[in-house]
Amino acid sequence: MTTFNTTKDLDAIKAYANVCFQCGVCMGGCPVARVNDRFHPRRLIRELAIGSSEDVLKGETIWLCAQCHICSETCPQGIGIPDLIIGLRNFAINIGVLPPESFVKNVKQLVETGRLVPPSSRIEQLRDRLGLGRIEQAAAEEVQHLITNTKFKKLVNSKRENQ
Amino acid sequence: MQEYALFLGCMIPLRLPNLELSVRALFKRLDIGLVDMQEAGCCPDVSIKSVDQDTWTILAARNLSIAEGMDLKILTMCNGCFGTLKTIDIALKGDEKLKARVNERLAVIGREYAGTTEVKHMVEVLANDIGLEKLADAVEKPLKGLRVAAHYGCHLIRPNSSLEVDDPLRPVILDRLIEITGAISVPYYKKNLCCGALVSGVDADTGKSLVRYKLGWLNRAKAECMSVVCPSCMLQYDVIQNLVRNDSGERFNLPVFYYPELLLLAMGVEPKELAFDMHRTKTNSVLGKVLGSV
Repeated sequence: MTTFNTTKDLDAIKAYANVCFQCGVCMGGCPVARVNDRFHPRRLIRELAIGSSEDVLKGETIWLCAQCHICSETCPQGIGIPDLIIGLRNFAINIGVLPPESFVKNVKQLVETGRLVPPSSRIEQLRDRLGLGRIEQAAAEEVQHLITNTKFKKLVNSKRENQ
Repeated sequence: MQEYALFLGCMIPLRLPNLELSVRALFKRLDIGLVDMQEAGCCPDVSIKSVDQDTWTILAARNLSIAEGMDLKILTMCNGCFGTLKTIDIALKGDEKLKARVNERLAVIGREYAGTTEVKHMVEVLANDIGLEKLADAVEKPLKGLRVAAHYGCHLIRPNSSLEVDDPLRPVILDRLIEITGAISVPYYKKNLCCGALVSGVDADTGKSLVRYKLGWLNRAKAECMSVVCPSCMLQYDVIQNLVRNDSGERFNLPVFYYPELLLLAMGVEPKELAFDMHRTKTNSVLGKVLGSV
């Protein structure tokens, strides 16, 4: 597993991108690139290595990766592109980029209930019909105690203000 | 009796409880205990990793510590939960500094990660811990001739550096599990294609195109149904399938089964016990064949 200390280390991500020799194997196996021409992993790595990282961080591209990890298993240079993209996403949020709504929704839900899907009376009825027990609380308070990243917390509030 | 700590996650208990029903029914029949993990939360998934890896790590470690307290190995029913929990477990076991940092934070809530549990996907427990032979012995009504397409999903097998379940590009474990039910695991092009669950939330059209693309190849391979092992894949193919059309503008109508459902059918369990009415794509064509009448 390759991890980046994303709050400080954009340079490390760029250095990592620098070992790419642009063979395009990542592009060939990429499911998203096959159906969406706005996503192009080889070009993303090139831009990161020699272009403006600000454009990359503020653009839509980094959010379109499906995180399927086909490219990281086939890259001849062993670049963990999905992890690199995760690093960019973390970094983008740290410089104030608002991620797509689906991510904000999940963050909010996680903080409120400790899970990504809210409990509801409909689901409890369904569970009852299937003979399954009530779904147990996920100790959201403990989860909240463990979330110390201020940007993460800010996302929850940004959503609340919009409602 | 052998026991595992059951990690429920979010999608299965709260959106697809029929999948939970099938897992509980299957392991009960196999005489293996599943003990719920009290107060476990979201694993958390890749969307949370995308926002902040530190939060992702610490919350996963919290979940792992709960299973450690039970002195049991973890069984996950979802590729997402498996990918997160195993990746973090392996990372913590190999990095004392990270472990110390994580434990400093966990101490705030009175928990500790020691590194004494192990994370397994249901598929591994079935194929490796219980074993194919024992499962084959339990089959009473073989799904003879049923053409099933195995869909592995991504985070069961990739990244292989931390998951190590099977070959990350040419896996066989699910094919073997399908074969012991008496069914045929059909070969098809683009077997590794991602279901697109994560990207669907960002761009719905991309998600739909990925579903449509895979189903097109399954039609060409003359698959009669699909077998998945993850609730995200299940939702993509079972639900999104109804929002797309094939090249001739027709619906696909390809039933999608969560693997435990198929095995239970092969073990002779009555379909009415498994809530197939909760599937969004009708399963009648396959159930009719299994029961010998429509």
